[in-house]
Amino acid sequence: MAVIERGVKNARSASTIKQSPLVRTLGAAVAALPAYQNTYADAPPEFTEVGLRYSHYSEDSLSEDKFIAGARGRYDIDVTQLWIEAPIGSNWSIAVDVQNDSMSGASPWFVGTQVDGQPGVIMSGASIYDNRVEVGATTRYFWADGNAGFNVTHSKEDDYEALALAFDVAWNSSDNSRTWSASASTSNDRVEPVNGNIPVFIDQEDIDTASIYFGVSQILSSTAIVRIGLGYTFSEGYLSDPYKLFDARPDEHSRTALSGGYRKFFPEAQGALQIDYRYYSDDWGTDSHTAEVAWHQSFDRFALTPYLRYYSQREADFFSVIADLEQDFYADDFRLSSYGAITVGLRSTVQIGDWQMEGQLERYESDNDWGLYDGEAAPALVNFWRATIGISWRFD
Amino acid sequence: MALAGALTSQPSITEHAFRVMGGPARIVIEHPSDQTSGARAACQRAETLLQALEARFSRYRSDSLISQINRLAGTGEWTCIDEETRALLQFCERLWEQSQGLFDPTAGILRQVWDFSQGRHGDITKLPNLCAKVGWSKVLQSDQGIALSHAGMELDLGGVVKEYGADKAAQSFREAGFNHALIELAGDIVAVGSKTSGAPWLVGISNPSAPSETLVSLELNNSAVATSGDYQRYIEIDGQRYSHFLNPHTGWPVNEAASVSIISDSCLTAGAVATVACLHSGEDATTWLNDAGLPWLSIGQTGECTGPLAPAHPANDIDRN
Repeated sequence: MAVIERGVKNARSASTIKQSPLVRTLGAAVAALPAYQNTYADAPPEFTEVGLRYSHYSEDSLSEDKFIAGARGRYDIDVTQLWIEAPIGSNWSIAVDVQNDSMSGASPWFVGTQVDGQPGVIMSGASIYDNRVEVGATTRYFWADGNAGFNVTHSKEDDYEALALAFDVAWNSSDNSRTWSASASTSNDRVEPVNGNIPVFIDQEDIDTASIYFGVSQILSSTAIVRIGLGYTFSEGYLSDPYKLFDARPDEHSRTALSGGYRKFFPEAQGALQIDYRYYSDDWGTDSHTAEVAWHQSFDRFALTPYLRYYSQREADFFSVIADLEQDFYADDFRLSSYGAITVGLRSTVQIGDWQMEGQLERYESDNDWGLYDGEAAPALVNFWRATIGISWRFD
Repeated sequence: MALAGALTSQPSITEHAFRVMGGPARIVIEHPSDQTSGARAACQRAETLLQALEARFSRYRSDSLISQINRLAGTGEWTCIDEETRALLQFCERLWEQSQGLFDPTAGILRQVWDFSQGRHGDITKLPNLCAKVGWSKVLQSDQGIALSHAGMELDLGGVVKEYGADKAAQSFREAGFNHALIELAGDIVAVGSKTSGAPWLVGISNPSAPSETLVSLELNNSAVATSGDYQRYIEIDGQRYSHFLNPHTGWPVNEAASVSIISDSCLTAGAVATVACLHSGEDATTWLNDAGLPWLSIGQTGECTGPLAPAHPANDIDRN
């Protein structure tokens, strides 16, 4: 009997044991079997994860033939992100995310006419420097059939402060083949533009925004899943860009987006195909299509994901290449013009024990001719590079 | 061999014993007293579910899916398979990869030489020819299904189906709302939740050479224990005792006869890790078990216990007063 007592005293529960790479690999194959698709449903993360990510965003300088005055060099942004996510007990998790953006460069101030009659951009003089710090915290509760999270995010920069609250919930069907998700969020932004190289004409304005989203995903087979979602966002307040000379937008903005996605895993190739589409429409007359295709290829502890994204939007009703000040609303902001854009990127991850390294490089180019919709070409359309590296560590 | 421990708690208990997949099966459910008929029905459903798995995956039944695949070996014809079978084959492939080919569901034909039930062997010179027909890489999979590339090849999922069945039966109880149950299939045990009192289920690992003697008792709560190794099935050659685990590379049995028990959150994972441990020899087995990182107990030929679950393991002297 002494042997039995000793064994009982020292028996360990599997649920407290950290998973090795071997068991994680087998576990991924186990999870594809129907008998486990409920038991592997919703649970807090098993580990605490700490991660650090750095990203550099660099816009190409404005080409000489579209430039009239100011500084041709456009934005460079350095983004540093630190996050931690940890389980709390058997049903809760908490995540904290801190992000710092350091921005420098010039931005388009307004569009005028060059001596040859073509539109050209007057940029915002010398470099602008700004720093933005964002802190977000999310707590999430997990139960057998779903999870719900609550997020608070605050961001602050010299001329802008925002506070956002968000709530989301996801719940699974009894056979776990379908997941419904819903979220609601609200934010209050305060704009206090600072006079720098260019004059501004407001002291302080507010923007209030509310969003809702509803989505559903359906497992089609052990290797395929499809999802669809519908979101609506409403903003009111000062929605113009205070750093543009000719920018007067409506003080209300309703946006609707319908999105869908399909994932197909190919076991023989150890790869997965990802196709996503999003349709967006708003009451400023803009609508857009975004389509993305990606291939996720696994090589044991290494994964590569090349992706290609196409975007096309129709110009806003009040957009014109050179702002039409006769109208109630007007803007020459290239982001409201008709154009198309292509993004090509490559993302990779390497898993070594409890450490994961990631790297990503993408190129974005936009052109009026690439769009699906008619509209005049905005001279300030942007091209940029973005590079990201990161590392994360999981521990008990 | 693991045995379910005695149950002494308050609520009603429904037990159901039957035979499936060539071995004994036992189910214990703790439930409120007004749910006895529901518990009995759930037990019956679990038995039916396990029989259906046996009918589909048994190599002993000529009408099974596995037999159909084996009959078409080398003909170039495909056998259509369902998503569950495909996922089970994927699991086998992962285990084959992770074990460097030691776990191989096509190694069953080697039993044409080794007869463990009778403790004897046939013509050992046939082994090279048989080994040529062994190899997971010779199993073809496509959208059309599965095919064995060489005539005479055989697929045998016996190494995973029992453990998968135990997990699947456990899941059927969860889906039926019974969250306090124990399922035992020929020594592999899955605990659904704890006992209704909140106490863990107690199961015993018995001494392979003296099955009535319990060497170690384990607590299970929403977890599973699987044991590989059978001291009743072995072969002695020139005084050397060989286990019934066959090395697919050499065709020979592994001479490190050991019983290995593993605790995991799924019986399938526990059984897979235990089976591959029995296919390794000596230090390689210990390295494999330590790499897996799951609690393990190995019982050697002379009854000596090693591993984190062993009664004399140093780690067990530290915590819990």
